[in-house]
Amino acid sequence: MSDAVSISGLSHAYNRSSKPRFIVDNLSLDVSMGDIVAIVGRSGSGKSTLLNIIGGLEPVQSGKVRVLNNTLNHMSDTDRTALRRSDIGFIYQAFNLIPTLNVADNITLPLALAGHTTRSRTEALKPLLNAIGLEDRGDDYPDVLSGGEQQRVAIARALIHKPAIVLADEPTGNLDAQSGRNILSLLDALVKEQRSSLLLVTHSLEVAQVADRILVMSNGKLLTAEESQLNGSLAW
Amino acid sequence: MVGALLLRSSVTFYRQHPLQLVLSVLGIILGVCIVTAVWITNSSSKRAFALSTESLYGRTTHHIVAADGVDQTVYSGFRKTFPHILAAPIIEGHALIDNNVFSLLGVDPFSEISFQRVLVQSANSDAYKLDASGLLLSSVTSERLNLSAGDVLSLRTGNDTTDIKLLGSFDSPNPAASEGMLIGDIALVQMLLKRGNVIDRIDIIANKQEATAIRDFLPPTLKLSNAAARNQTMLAMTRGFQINLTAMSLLSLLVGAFLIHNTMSFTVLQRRELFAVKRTIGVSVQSLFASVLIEAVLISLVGSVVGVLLGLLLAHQLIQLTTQTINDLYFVLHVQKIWFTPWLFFGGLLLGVGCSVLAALLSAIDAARTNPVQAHQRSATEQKTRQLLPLLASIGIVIMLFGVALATTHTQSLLLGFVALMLIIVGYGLLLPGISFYTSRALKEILSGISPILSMAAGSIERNISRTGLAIAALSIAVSSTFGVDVMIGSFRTSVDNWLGNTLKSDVYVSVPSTVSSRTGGVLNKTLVAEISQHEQVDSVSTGFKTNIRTSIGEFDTLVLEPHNNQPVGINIISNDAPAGWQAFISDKALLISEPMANKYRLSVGNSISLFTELRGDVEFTVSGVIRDYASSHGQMTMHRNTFNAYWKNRSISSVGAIFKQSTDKSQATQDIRSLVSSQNQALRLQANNEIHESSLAIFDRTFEVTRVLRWLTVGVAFVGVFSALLALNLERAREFAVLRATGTSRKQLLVLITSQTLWMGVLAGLLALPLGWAMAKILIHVINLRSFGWSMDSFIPNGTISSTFILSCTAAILAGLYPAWRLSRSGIAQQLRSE
Repeated sequence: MSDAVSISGLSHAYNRSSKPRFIVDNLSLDVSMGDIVAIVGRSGSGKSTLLNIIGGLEPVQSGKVRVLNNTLNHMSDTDRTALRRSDIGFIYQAFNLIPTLNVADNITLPLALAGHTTRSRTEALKPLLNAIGLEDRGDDYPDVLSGGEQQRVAIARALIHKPAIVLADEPTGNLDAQSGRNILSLLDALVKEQRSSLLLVTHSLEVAQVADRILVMSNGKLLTAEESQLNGSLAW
Repeated sequence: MVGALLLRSSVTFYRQHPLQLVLSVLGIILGVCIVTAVWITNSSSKRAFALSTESLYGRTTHHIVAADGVDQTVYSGFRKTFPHILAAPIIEGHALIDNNVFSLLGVDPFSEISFQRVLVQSANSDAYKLDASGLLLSSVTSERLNLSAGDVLSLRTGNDTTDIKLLGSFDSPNPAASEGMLIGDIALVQMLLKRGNVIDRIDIIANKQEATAIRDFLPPTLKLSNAAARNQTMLAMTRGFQINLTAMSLLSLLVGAFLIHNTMSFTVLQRRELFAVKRTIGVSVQSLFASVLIEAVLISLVGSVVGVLLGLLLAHQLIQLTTQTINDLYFVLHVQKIWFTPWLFFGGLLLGVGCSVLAALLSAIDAARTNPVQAHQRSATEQKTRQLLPLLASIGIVIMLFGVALATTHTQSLLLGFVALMLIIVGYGLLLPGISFYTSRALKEILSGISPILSMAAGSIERNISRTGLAIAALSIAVSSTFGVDVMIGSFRTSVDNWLGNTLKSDVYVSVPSTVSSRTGGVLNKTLVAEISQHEQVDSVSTGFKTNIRTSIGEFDTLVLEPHNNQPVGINIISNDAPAGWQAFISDKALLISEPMANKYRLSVGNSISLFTELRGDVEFTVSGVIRDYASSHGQMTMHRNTFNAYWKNRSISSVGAIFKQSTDKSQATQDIRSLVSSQNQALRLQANNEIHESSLAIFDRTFEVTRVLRWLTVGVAFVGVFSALLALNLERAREFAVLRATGTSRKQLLVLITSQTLWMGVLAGLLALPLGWAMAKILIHVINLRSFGWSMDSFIPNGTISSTFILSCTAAILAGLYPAWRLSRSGIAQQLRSE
């Protein structure tokens, strides 16, 4: 099975010019196509930074990062953008829906950016709206939706262009336990249906259970659950 | 305590948005700068005029004047009859030294002592040296020209040049007032100005009883006039010009105030959620309201102080332009000094702070009334705004109709004219968000099948209408004001151009060059006039003589005209039944009056005016026609030579116009006339009609130089305001743009999205500015200018004005969009997504 993500010797520091603080330190990671990987860790441990680097939102400072056989180190901003547009879907803790676009426009945004016609966008939208249970809310604006509903819209937006990789940063962080569980099962189902890889960042071990593999981010490195001696607590 | 915390929070906000702070302050600086510069310029020219009159008239209370100069024997007769009343003979004129214009004042040194005029105001005066052998020059001018006692000056008066000795200099407590003043013994000045046995006037210091006694003593051909009234009349001549300047500055202020409101609204809109949080944790409505107002006061205070100081600098430039115009059109004013008083300083501050606080008031109310729940729901704000659009448009239409009704009322009130202009601008401003909303929605639909990015750009305007509507309205109003002023100046210029074309019907004109543009010069030799009229290539001649006639309603320049074959050639009668009016003019005791005179004094055909004639004292003359005349805003009369000759002794001619025979080679004929003119022992000017046409338009352009400068400053105010609004609008959406980038929007696409959005806003604002600009021009032309100058004119849109307005609007919008687009496309996506 080919690699969705392959990282070796990755380091990333903030305040590089003055007092560098390494948030990612000589990290390596391989994710196969279709894998669901959860990365857990305390707040500020560098989980989101890692996700942003994989998504091409942060530059690769040192080490090597390959995503879908593309070496990010050598890619221009335009190429990284094109990669995101075609093969990557993002889901954020804060939903990050565009407040002035309605639900339908938010979900079909990646298709619009890729130049799809209105007709093909509408065709792609319908099954997704049904899948997330918001078939009659297409004309509503994000701020009249509940947190769970907003996150469902965000998931639909991340998946509408059938990306090979979905990057989810604390997708249930702003939701209550029940809504969180619903979102996770929806995400799991949709990702599996599309055979996408999912990289899930969370500080909740309960959320991480959805993954095939759980890794722990600590001191800028990724450890397996065993290596990190997880003591069974459900959250960091 | 809470106040201090809120203030600190505001300071932090601006520290995080320094560019926005700079632009807000810059908008206020420019607005205040323009208005105070005009105030300072206007008050400086008034003050200069007051100082000039003080130098010339001192303690004078009355003047004895005649229709065409006072015979000098009147003075000796007066002295004998009223030995106890202080009196001084005066001759006033102008002279040139090296093309510099000087006021030439002829005085009797012994009589001057009691009048406290410039000659005796200073201890360091060489007044005692004054005799008939030379002249005294103000010390400030002597220093400037590096002249000293004993130097010989080459003095040009009328058409003569005379070498004359400089006897010394005199000081004045107000040196600026005596700048460019030459004083000589009255006998010498009489000789230099070729006044024969005539003096200009006798100045008197008299109380009421003495004045009555003098009036009883004077024959009907002499008049005792009040000195203060004369000054007022002269000052009133420049009123129209100053009102026009003030109108321009108020227009800038209105645009500035709208933009300040726009800027303040944005800073409040941006912080709605922050205000909601503050309200949630218990900050009172009053505290929030006060914090926004205090913010406005502090920002505007800084802006106003800098604005007033820059206004002072700008006034130094404007005074040069206005003095030139006053000299061109009204009277000689040498002073180019700025008079800056604490009142002007505090007035400027009050204006800037007052306008900003008023502009911020609505925003402060909005901030204080922010509903903590709804503040987080952006769509609720947009929904509310969308629902309000029809209501706002309806209110706007009502306000506009009210403004139109006010503008079309038959009143002379300038204030009502300004109020009408303001109502139309405000009403139209309320209409703009609605129009922008529906046109953007339509454009979004049209573009959806063509380009998703462009469709998103148009849709973004529709969906953010609470912000974009405000920015489009601000840009549109700012741009429309420049369009309106351009059309006004263009219409004026075209009207003057057409008028000159209709008036200058002679092929060549011969006249005595005047020392000052606004004054007529000397007298033509009669044999020359006869030679020109009898020249074989000349078909007909007209002669003119310009004089000043006192009437029951004031003094007016009067053209004494002997027309070409008694036909109305070059006379544009605009009143009804022009042929009958012309017939009455050539045969009856009648006058043609200029349009400003008819408008200002509400005179029409058939009305009578009492003229102070030389031979028969006060005589009633009938107005037989109203003529178009852009030469003077004060008003001018035209009288037939035969009518004038019946009541005045003067037979002088100051200009002659000749029409060549049709088959004549005009250049050859002009050359022949030039030979005739140059054979005269007199410095004369021969001009073809196109030369006069061009030089008149040059004076026109010089007059509107100030308006043009102010117009560009208004554009500056508009640009800063719009740049600031669009910058705030785009930076506010930084997170939204970061989501787009994360979702796969390239830098180029983002750049296209933001710039096409601002470009569309510029296109909309430019298009919507045209009707408002046209309405503004109509009001400026038919209401403000008509009421301040008395001139009517047709409306013309100068070539390229529509396209330049459009380009201005689009350029301002694109430039305003480029910076945030560049900044946002460069900023870290992850960082923007993280930041709230």
